[in-house]
Amino acid sequence: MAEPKRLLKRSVLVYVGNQNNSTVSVINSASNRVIKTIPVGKNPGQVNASPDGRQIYAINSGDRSISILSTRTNQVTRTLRNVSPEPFAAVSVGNRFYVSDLYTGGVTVFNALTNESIARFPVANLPLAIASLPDGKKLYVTTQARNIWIIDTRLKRVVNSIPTGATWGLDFTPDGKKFVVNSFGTNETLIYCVRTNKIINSIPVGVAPIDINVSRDGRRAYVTNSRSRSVSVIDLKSQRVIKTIQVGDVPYNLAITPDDRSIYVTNNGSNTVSVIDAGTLKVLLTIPVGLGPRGVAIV
Amino acid sequence: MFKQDNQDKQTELAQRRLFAYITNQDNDSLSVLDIGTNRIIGTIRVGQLPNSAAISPDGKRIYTTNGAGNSITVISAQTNRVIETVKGVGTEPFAADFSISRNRYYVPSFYSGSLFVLDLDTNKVLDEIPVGNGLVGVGVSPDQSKVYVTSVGAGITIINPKTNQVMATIPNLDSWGIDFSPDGARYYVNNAGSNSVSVYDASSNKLLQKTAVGLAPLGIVASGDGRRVYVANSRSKSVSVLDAASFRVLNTIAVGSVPFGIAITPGNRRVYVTNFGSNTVSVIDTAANRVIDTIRTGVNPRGIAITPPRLEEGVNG
Repeated sequence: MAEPKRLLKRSVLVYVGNQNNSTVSVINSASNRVIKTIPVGKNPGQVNASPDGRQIYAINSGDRSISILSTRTNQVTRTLRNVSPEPFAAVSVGNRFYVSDLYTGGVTVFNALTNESIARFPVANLPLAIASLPDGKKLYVTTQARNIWIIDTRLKRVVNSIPTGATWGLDFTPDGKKFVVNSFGTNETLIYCVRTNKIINSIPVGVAPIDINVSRDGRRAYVTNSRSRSVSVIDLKSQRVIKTIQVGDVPYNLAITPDDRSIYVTNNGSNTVSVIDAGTLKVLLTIPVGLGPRGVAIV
Repeated sequence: MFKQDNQDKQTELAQRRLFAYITNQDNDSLSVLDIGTNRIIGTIRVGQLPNSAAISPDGKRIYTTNGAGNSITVISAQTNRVIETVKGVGTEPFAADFSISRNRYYVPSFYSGSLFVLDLDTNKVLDEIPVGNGLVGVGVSPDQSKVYVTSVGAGITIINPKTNQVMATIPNLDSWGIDFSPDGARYYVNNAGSNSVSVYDASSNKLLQKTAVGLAPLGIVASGDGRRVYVANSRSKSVSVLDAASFRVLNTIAVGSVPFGIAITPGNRRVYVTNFGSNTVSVIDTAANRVIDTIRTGVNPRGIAITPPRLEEGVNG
């Protein structure tokens, strides 16, 4: 934030997984246009960026594969096959990436340098989202069923669980002291203390909240309300919703630009991406993408 | 007893051709399996990511709900050809069940959180009933007086098909598959998160019993003779066989990886289970409680429906 003017000018690339026509759309944030549409594996859901921003992993739920894209060339450089029956979510931590499977309830660990799978371990029933503590030592897995499951990345197994109902998106504050998680069944965002695993607050949001992201400055969390056609903006200091922004049908995932100034939201039911200005908290524009957009990653 | 059993078997396997219809989620197709020979006799292209198959109670039409197609494919069981692709059923339709007396079928959509009501003759969407978050299953009671919708976020919702209004919501954090005792007195619900099956009294909606099964039970089917309940334990590579009277687990049968959908033949002789992770279907002999055949399918076999009993035969076929 030291050089806001420079940051403002910096354009980023936004990658969107179009589940229903098996492509990834690349949006340039300067023009906010789709600059490329890349065919990937069948029915990509989530897309994740490697920590260095050089690669995008498209998790193809419809053919058991992962497409790896180069962000320099915007081409598929490699396809990892036979990952698991229904790969669903992923997270990159250092030189590892972790892919959870919806129906086996397991996680496959890949070496990001060689793209070899190096381990697989069971986690829980019906895992939905997977997030890493800022220090990379623990992964938190949410599920359609119940509980949040905590994985030790060194031990490669579940070491703890937090009793909940169905939860979905989860993110940490930048200091790693708190996490926010969407309670999918009760239409709330829950704020937890990482040290105690206790709830600090529960905040009513829209209906069927899916994804949540904390801004890099730690001041806000943004929530997609899949059945309300809206995004809730939570002020993390007052722990209240300060704005509810109307977007498209079935808003699914969202991603915040590195300068915290824009939020990109996939509207799974509208085949569009809404771009929200974090200053005015209004939709700047709506960009048509492929069919059934879900995952979004920014580099 | 034995003699009669053999006669039943002959009726079922020889005198009438029965089929199992299996959705191959990752091939966007439906496999047609001849139950007499246990061979796949045809494969039909359907919409994207077909996650469930259902067959009309008269056995004439097969329906697949297509999770990424946001559509339903309607297929003639006589010609094995697609009759129609129905759109406008929300985001990620997940299951289907029927009411012959009302000439309707019911489709819950996961992300829309609604139950869509369609006309069996015209395939038109007649109504969209908001239900709750994360809908995964639907079951019409044997007397067709109630429609039950299961979910991962909203409990079990009971809808009156006459008014399309919600009659009751049963708290259940993680309900998935649902089926009924043939007399309609009870309903059985898989608890996908807590590794159990719940038995409810259908008149009071009281939870009568909860029985531990394998990990992440998804599909469930009750035998037409009212004696058994079969549960697919997706994370345990097994099927639990429960006694419907005591609701105790009688047997646990090893099957393939990620058993998902489960269906039973009209004479209750065979149970077919899709193994989502193995690309196979396991055939269970219900008398011996063992797998007698494993048949290769397409990729990620998930939903399954079997030719129903003849309507005049009733549920006991």
